[in-house]
Amino acid sequence: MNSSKTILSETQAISQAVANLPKTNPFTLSHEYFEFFSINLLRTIQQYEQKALNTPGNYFSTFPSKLLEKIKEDNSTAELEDLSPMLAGMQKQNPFYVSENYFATFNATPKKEQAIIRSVFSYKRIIRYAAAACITGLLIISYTYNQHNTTTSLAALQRNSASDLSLESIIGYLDQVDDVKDDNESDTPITAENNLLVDINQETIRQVLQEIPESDIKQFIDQTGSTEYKSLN
Amino acid sequence: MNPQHSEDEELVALFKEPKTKESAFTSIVKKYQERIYWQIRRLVINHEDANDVMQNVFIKAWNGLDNFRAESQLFTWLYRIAVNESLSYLDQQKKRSNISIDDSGLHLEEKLHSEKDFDSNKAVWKLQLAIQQLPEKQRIVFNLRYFEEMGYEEMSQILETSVGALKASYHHAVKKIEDYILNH
Repeated sequence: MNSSKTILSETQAISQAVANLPKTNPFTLSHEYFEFFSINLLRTIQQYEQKALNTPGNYFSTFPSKLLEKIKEDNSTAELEDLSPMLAGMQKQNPFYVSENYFATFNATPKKEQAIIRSVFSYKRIIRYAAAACITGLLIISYTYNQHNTTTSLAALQRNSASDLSLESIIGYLDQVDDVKDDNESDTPITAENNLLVDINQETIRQVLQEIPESDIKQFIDQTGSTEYKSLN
Repeated sequence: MNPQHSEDEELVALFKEPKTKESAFTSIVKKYQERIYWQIRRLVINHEDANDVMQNVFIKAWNGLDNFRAESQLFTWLYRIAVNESLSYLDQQKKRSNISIDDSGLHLEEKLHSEKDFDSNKAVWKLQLAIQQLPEKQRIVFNLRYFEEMGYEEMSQILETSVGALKASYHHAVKKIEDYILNH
């Protein structure tokens, strides 16, 4: 605390008028106020503490047992027994299977979904078109080649027949063929059996027809619809 | 060590013991109640308001003394609570009554007028009227220096303001009061 004289001289230096003002306290207060203030204050604090953040005396000591009681009250097994004894009696086995190390290896972090990148140029499609074009090209080339070869061979044959074969070789070939024909004719004699060019006269025909039953001939005429029927018998 | 400081330390230590808590607190209240009260009363004017603030201050002290560290003096600590509580109380009153910052001096002046034995012709009341015209900070500095005769160092701890700024505030306050008294 600074001495009164120091403060007075400081105030005087700033303002003589203010320094000369009386320091009398103009406010009134009952003499008993400070006498009872601490007592009243403690009473207020006690009331305040009772109101605010107050817990019953045995709150924390009885808290665990009360909590257990509450948990027991919320027993699902007992509830089910009341509702359906049959269901309560059933075994609570899990029918679903999960691999043994599923939970050990389970990774809860979601996989980062990568955006599907679609190329503007599909190489697969291009390869397919290229293969198809190649095959078509090969077919066209092979067809064209074959056509050309056939034409060429016929023309060559015609050219060869005209140029390569001499008159002498053609005469020789014809002679050989005549010889073979002559040989065949001389080996087998012409008989009535092997010679198809046999003269058939009326008598022969009559004999053949006599060997065929008349009913068969009639049936044949009926089938063919011939009107010119004469009994040859 | 300051004997007053050691006495305060002893009271705080006794307060931290459950058996001696209430008796130690009563001793602290009795020791500082008058000085705290008058500081509050000069700021809020009205006794009922001052009593409310007093109770708030010491209830805060009761709740905070367990964690009080002897880094600052007990008196300085209580004074800081008193100043803050007084200003908070006045702010709440202004909000409740829809009083603007400019009209806060008038509001306090009205309070003075309703005080018993108020006489605007008397120098002591004139001085009080002049004090109510001051800005909040200058009013506190003037009260602490002029009436409490508090040193600037201690005041600096309470108000968390530099000594130079406090000296300037006191200078301005005295000049304004002089001006008011000479013109009224």
